[in-house]
Amino acid sequence: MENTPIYIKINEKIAVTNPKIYIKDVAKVYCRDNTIAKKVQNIVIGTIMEDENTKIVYSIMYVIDKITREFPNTHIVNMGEEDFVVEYLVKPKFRKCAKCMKIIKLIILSLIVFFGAGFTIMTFNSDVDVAHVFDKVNKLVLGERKGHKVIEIAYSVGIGIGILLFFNHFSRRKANKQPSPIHVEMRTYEKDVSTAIIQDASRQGAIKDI
Amino acid sequence: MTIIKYVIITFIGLASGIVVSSAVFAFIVALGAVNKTASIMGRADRVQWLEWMVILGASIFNVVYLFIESLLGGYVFIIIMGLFFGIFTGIMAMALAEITRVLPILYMRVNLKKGLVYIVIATVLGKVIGSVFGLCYK
Repeated sequence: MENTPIYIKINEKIAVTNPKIYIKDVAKVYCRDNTIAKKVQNIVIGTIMEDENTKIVYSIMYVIDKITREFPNTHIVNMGEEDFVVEYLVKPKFRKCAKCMKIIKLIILSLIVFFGAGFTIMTFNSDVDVAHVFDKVNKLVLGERKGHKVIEIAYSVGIGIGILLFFNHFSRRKANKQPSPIHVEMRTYEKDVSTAIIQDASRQGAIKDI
Repeated sequence: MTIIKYVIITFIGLASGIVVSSAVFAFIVALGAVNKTASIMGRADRVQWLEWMVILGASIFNVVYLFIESLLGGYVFIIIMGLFFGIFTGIMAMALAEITRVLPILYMRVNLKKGLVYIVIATVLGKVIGSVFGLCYK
């Protein structure tokens, strides 16, 4: 029992829906003694008073302090982040309305992306004068004949294939499926956001520390 | 011989399409236009779906641009199209400004501590007025 190491691993950003934050909500706990691990998991690190979506930045020191108060003779090993963001999301009161809003948001987003992608490719086409280039290539390969828009059709098919390849929607096997570039960008962006939140909190002294 | 020529020209068209679309959308992804918008609107969970919308939008409008002379749809359709073209261009413009660190550097240089809201409002007004003048008064 004496000086049993407790290993805890916390991710940088955790979303919770319960205003009472238990350690098991935010961290993975390992201890050779299973009962200690269970007890550690049920320690409350904080309660959220606000009735709206909030973000709280905790320091690992705060968590260690909470644990050592219950188990003074233990040795805590941090395997994860030093500061982490707990995002409290209020359970939507009008579930139907919230679902509607989510769908409306997705529709608007889809429209933006759909028309935006179309606009981008059209501005590109007219910026580099694709029609003129195709005329030249037609003359080069087919002679004077117009070529019944063969190259235009092939180009249009190529546009679709290019994007499909780029977002690698072609790989059917799930096991070795790479995340697509947007996925990678998304995760990078999320990490940047939580780092910014932590740094802001640390500048304002709003980190829950000891 | 004619068939070979058509094979060659088909190949050129296909290859240029693949390279052009990869390059153009690599630019959009690098700016983070799609993922940041999705993240801000809280629908980051449906990125896969949005990628399909990119593919559809680019393919359809490319065909429209190259082949279709008139797309009947009336004023409602043209307003919707113009609005969403504008929204996406606005997102791209600001994503480009963000990726090149325009605002943070400006802030550091003039030693501003607060007032980001006013800079954003000023940017919006400037872009809108500039766009109206640039397009309507030639």
